[in-house]
Parts: sequence; structure tokens; C-alpha cells
Amino acid sequence: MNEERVGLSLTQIARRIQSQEVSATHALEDVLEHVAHADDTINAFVTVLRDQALQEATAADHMLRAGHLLGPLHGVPVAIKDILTTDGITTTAGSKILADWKPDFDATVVRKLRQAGAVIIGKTNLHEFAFGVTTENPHHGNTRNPWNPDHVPGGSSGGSGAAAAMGMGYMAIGSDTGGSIRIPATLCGVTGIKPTYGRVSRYGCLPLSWSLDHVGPLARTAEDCARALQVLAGHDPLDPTSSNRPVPDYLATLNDPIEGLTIGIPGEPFWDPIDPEVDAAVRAGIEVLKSQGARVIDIEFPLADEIVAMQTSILFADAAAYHHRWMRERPHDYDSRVLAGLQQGATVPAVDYVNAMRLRSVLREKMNDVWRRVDLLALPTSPVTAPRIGHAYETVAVGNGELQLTRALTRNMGPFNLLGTPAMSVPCGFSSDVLPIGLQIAGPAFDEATVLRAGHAYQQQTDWHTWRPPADTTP
Amino acid sequence: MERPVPSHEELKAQLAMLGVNIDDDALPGLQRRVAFYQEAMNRLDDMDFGLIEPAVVYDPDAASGGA
Repeated sequence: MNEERVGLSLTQIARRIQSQEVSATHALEDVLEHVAHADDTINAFVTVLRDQALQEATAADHMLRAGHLLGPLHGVPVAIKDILTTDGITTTAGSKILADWKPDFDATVVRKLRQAGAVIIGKTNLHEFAFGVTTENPHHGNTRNPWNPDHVPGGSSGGSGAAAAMGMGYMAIGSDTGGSIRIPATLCGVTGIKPTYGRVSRYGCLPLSWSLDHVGPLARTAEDCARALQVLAGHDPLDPTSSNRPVPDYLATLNDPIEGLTIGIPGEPFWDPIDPEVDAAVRAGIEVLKSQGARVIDIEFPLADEIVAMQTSILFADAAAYHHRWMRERPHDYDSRVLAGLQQGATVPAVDYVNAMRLRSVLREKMNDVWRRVDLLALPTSPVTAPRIGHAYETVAVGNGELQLTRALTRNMGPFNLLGTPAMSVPCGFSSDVLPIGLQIAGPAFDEATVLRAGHAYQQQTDWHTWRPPADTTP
Repeated sequence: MERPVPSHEELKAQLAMLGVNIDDDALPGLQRRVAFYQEAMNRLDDMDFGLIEPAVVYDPDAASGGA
């Protein structure tokens, strides 16, 4: 295995493959060897598509030698969260219920990745049906955090976060209903963006909550995410919630300066309670943006205290509706905590659901007032670092208060799912016990370009995104 | 008026209306979850939405912030 190559970013490996400095086959073999070495411990993958991927990489090399470039991801090994359908390949959603389901179609994002030349190396593990944030999974095994295998990688896209951090694929697709891209991104020390609702097709992604679900990439850098999003974004007639808006050229503006941008720092409850080391790292990250000429102002986030009520009503009731049949027919095939959440969702009164949706409209209007004053928001992705496996549901002392850890992980996420606006996590430091910390950058609807630009500007001044987990992953 | 926390029997009956069974030993956990939810929802019960308001929409552009 070529250690140096495995540590490259998507942008770097794509360039090397396109220039034929390295073949797609060699790039893939490095990744597969890395998976064989490390995934017994990390368990990022439910399915590894070794033979199929090798065939695809060989074909990619033949095409390139013949002068035919499929697209910007030609020959690049990538991983897919196992909640997105893949033609003829098991799609488990991390469950026992769908353990043997082989759909006969690709999700739109999978189809787009293939068209762009990507080589799909496998399907990544997740919290069962994406309904949880730890990726502790009794059916397919727990995914472990690459920085410390005794800790969770976050979730629900925990396998994708761990794979991206380990270099087991140069980009991994995740889905985000209440933080499921950004939580594993911050806990695993990678960059992940939840795009605007409607920006990336969800066709072929099993739903958790129809109006909160988003699909997006996790990778090493903001530039990688921009490159991936360029491929993934765009209207899809198969997804009725897909937007018709034209997709801008994200890479064209990536290097524009952030001087003159106004960045809002939302106050309560995003910063309190918070682990003091997280607080210090995120505030230092904001200073880096400021040092590049961004103007930083404090803002009050509208309806911040009502977010949990809105999010819980909508997300849990939607999940219960989707799972209603299996809840009746196969309740004991669910993880007990997942089943408990679904049962809770089944008790949400219809009036609560509608009122949550009404208030969501009010939130959107009030937030539009905020977006008239600021270009971006910056805040902690999570107020805590990765909890230990088996302890994520405990309530612990954090800073000046107490937090139930899974609620802590989702606390700063929900607003951007309710709003449907883009939000990205970039690595901004490490705790004293060497667990990653993330800075969340959020922007107005369909302005992924500015979010990515700020993340890229930050990563030009810092090196947190270049840190790699220890090679020895023995727990 | 503060929302009450439903009893085990009330929760069981509510789920049964949807044809969903729950094991007795899962009821305390569900009750704790619902208690947390009820407390959060108390805040929404006091909301004044006004007499006229826009409809709840699923249009992606409107849903994600409007044009």
C-alpha cells in the first residue's frame, strides 16, 4: 500500500489519475489494501465491492489511455452510505429488516458519481435506518472512531465519516436529517457539507423524514466537497423535491477572498453548555476567518428555544409513518433504541406536527431577516467531542452545565435541517485526548458557494484537515 | 396549561390505536422520552401564529428560504 497516496485528498488523487501519474487501478488497490488492514477494527463498511471496483478501475484506465475522460471523478474510489440504493447490490440501511434487499436501480447520486467516472468501493455502515447519531449498530457491528476506536464516529453516516478520515475512499456520501453528515464529519475530523434542501436529489435514499432529509459528501477538504457537490447537484425529475435552480460553478469562486463577508455568531443555546476545549478551538477558528477580513458580529438566532420541539415533532412522526408497517409486523427486528424512537414518533399528535410545520414557516421568515444582515453563520458543529462507545446516551457534566450526549451532538444541527439551508463542518482542532473538533459554517439557501469558499479560505490558513488518524487502529 | 405526561396505559392505548404493540418493559423508557417531548412542546403551545398566515409548503425553493 502506498501510504502517501492514501493520504491524498480527492482533488489531489483526481489530478494524479487524470494526468496518468497514477492509474485508477493502483489508486483503488491502495484503498482496498487499507480497508483490508484497518476495517476489521473500524468497521466502516457493510459491503466492500472489491471485484466490481477493480473491474471499474481497470475500465477507467483503459478509457483514459484511449483519451476518453468520463468526468471530474474519473477513476476516483468513493464510498456510499448504505441507505442509498445501488443496482444489484445489497442496500441494508444498516438494518436487519433490509439485510438482503437488492434494489434494481441506482440512487440518482450513485448514477451521477458513476457518470463522473467514480469507482464505487463499497457501502458504508450507519445507525440503523439513519435514526440515531452514534453508528452503534447491533446488526452490522459498531463503527469505531478512527482517532480512538473506543469512541463512536458519530452518525448516522458514521461509516462514511470513518472511511473519509481513514482514506478508505477519497470521498463518502452521507445523508443528513438532523446532523448525520456534519456530526460524523466533526467527530472523525473531516469536512462534510449538508447542501440546501432540493439541491441534491434524494431519489433512491431511504427516507427518515421527508422534509428534513438531505444528501451530501464527506471528504478531506472544502475543495473536495466543492468538487463532489458539482457532480451531485442539480435537478432530478425523479425527486419531486428537487430544485430547478441552475447549479453554479463552485470551484470558480472557491479561491475568492472572504474579505468583506459578514459572519454572524449565534448566541444561546449554541455555546452553552460546551466543552471548554471545543469552545476555545471554535473561537480560534472564527478568529482565523476574521484575520482574513471577514467582519464578525453577534446575532440572535430566532426561535432557538423552539428548535427541539419543531424538529422532534416532524422528524419522529415522519419516521414513525415510514416505519409503521414494520413497527407492527417486525418490531423485534429493530435495535431497541431505534424502536423506542419510532414508538415515540407514533405518539406525536397530528396537531403538534402541523403546528411544528407552521412554526417552521415563521422560523424561515425570521431567518431571512438574519440573512439580510449576514452572509454566513459560524458556530460549533458539536459542543462535545466523540463519546465513548456504550456511553453516548449518558448525561455528563459539560462546561458549566450538563448534557445528554446524543442530544448534545444534535443540538447545533437541527436549525439548518428545519431551514433547509446549507451547513458545513470543517476540522478546527483537537481535544487534549486527540479527538477532533469541528467549526460549522452555514449560509443562506442555495449559497453553498459562499459556505465552501469560507471553508476553503479557512483551510488555506490552517492544517487541521491534513491531520490523519493513527495507523494503528487497535482498540 | 402544562402538558401532562401520559401514563403507561395511556401510551399503550395510543400505540394500539395504530396497531402497534409495545413490550411492558419498554414503557418506562417511552414515558421518559414523551415527558421530554411534552416539556419541549409546552413552548409551542404558547405560540401565537396570528389569524392569517402563509400555508405550510413543501416546495423546495420556498422550503429552503425562498427566492
